[in-house]
Amino acid sequence: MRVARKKLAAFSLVEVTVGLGIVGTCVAALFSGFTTGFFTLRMARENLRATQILLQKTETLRLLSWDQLTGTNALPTVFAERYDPNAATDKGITYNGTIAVTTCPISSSYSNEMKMVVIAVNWKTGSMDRNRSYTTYVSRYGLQNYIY
Amino acid sequence: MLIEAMMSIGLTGLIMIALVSISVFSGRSFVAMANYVELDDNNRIAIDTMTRDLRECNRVLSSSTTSLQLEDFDGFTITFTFSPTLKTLTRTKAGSTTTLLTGCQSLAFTLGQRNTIAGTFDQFPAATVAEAKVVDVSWRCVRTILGVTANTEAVQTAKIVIRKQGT
Repeated sequence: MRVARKKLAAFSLVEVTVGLGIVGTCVAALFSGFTTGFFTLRMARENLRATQILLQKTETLRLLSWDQLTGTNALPTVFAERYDPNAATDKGITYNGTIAVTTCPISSSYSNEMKMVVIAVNWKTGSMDRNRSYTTYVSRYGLQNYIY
Repeated sequence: MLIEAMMSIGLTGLIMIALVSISVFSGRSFVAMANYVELDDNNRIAIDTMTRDLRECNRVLSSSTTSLQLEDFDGFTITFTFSPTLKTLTRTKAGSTTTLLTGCQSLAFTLGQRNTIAGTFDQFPAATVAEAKVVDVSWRCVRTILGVTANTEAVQTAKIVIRKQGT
């Protein structure tokens, strides 16, 4: 009689509690993995957009003359861009940027004929401050005068 | 007993619903992440190809809202065509066509002159292709999950200066 009862017995409370604990931990780990994965993807996409903005501003430099580049009116020193500027409603996060045209940090005789341009953007991913910058050099008479 | 059977059926049902929900959510999340990665990959390849072609081309031959024709450095014609019906962006050169983007919801080409509007990063719009020095291109691609358009668009905007164009 005792043997038959033992065979019909279900899981004990301890077994069920441990089992539920393991399942709960696995589910929590799964969702935590998703959250981290999506956050990492978001960071990568926002970083990609920041790179686009930096390159876009750098391309504009190629259209400026030396006087425009070194003058005060042609080039704005600050700018703001959105993640999705073409969206009708939600344009996403805002990238705030700066452009600094400074003297070229080289000791050559032609250093006065060159400028260093630093373009920087900063933005927030959640509560995290992020920034990227791009540095390039501009020469007054083109590179060929120095190379050839 | 009936009560025990009903309780066990009810509990099993709840557990099954929870498992199915977790499975569906997990599946959608994996697909969404794969979509993001694929979109980013395609976008990078497409923008790199367009940037290289535009920078080294001789001039713009023609332009519309859905296509852009360039004269390449070797004299061949490169055509970028956006098909709103197929939702693709293709590149054709010397009879060879490559699909650069799929699932392309919108795409626009804008031509600009060399002259920059003072105090901005914008260029005056080019009235003709002969004035085109800058090509501004932007697009948006989407992917679907289980046949439904998902919020997995990747926006790409770029302003590319044609190096050889002298105007």
